[in-house]
Amino acid sequence: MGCANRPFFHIVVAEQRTDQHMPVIEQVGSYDPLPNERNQKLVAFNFERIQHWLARGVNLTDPVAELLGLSGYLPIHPRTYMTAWRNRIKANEESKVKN
Amino acid sequence: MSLMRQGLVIEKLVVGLHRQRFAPAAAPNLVVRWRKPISLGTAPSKLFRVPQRPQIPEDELKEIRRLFKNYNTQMKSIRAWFAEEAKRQEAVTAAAVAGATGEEAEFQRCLQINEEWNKKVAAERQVRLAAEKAKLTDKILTDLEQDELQKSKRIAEIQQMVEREKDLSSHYITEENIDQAIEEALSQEVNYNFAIDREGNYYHGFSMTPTTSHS
Repeated sequence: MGCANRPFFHIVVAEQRTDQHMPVIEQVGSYDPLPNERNQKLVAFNFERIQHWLARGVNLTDPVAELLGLSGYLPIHPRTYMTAWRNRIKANEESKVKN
Repeated sequence: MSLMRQGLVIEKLVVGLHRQRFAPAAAPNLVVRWRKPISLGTAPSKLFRVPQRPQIPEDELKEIRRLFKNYNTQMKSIRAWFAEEAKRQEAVTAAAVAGATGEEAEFQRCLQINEEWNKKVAAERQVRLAAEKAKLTDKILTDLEQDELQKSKRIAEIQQMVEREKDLSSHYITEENIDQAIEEALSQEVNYNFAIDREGNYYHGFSMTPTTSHS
C-alpha cells in the first residue's frame, strides 16, 4: 500500500488463495522501496513472528525471500545474484558503448 | 483456512480493480477506481500480442539451477529446525503453565474424591442388589409352588369329572339299550300337571298335600 506514484509495502502473513484486498492474518514487517534522505531503503522485520510462521510451514514469496536473505536472516536468494550479475553485465556494455 | 496454504505476501497498491472490492485491513481507506470490464473484450491494439519468451544463455541457466538447488536445500533444513524449535518451546511452555497454575494437582485431588464417592455408592448398590436378588428368588419359588398347586388342583378336577362320567356311563343309552330305552320311555308317563311353592314342594293334580319329589 502507498499512494499514487509512491509505493510502500507491508510484509504480511495472508492466506494464499484470498484476494490481496482481503483482510490479512498478521503484519510482520514493512518495506519502503524509495530511498530516503540518507539514501537508505528501510526494511522492518518481526523475526520472532517470522520464525513462528516458518515453523508452521508457510510459503515465502520471492520478493520477501530476497529481502530476508539480504537482511541476513535467511541464505541469500539466487535472484539476488542473478540481478547482480545482470546489472554488472549491463553496466559493462553501457561503459563499452560509451567508450 | 488451511494453514499450509498461507504465504508471506507483499501487499501493494494495484491500479486496475473495481471499486466494489473492499479495502484491505492494512489500508482501510484504499479503493481502486477502474478496471476494463471483461465483457468489453480485448482492444484491437492488444489482440495479437505474443509475449516474448525470455532467452537465457545456457551457462547462466546452469548457474541459476545450481544456486537454487543449494538455496532450497538450505531452506528445507532451516524450516525443519524452526519446526523442531517451536515444538520444544511449546512443550516447555505447556509444562510451565500447567505447573504454575497447579491444575494437575487439583485434578488428582478431584479424582481421589470421585473414587471415594464411587466406593460408597458401590457399597450401597451392592446391598440393594442383594436384597432385590433375595426377593426375586423368593418370588420365583412361591410362583413355582403356586404352579404346582394349580396343576394338582386341575388334575383333581379332571379326575372328578372322569369319575362322574364313569358313574354316569352305566346309565348311557347305547346300541344295545336303545330298543329297551325307547320302550321304557314310551311306556312311562310323566305328569307335568303340578304346582310348586317356594320351599320346593310339589302339589300334583288337585291335591293339597305336598310332596318333595317330582312324581
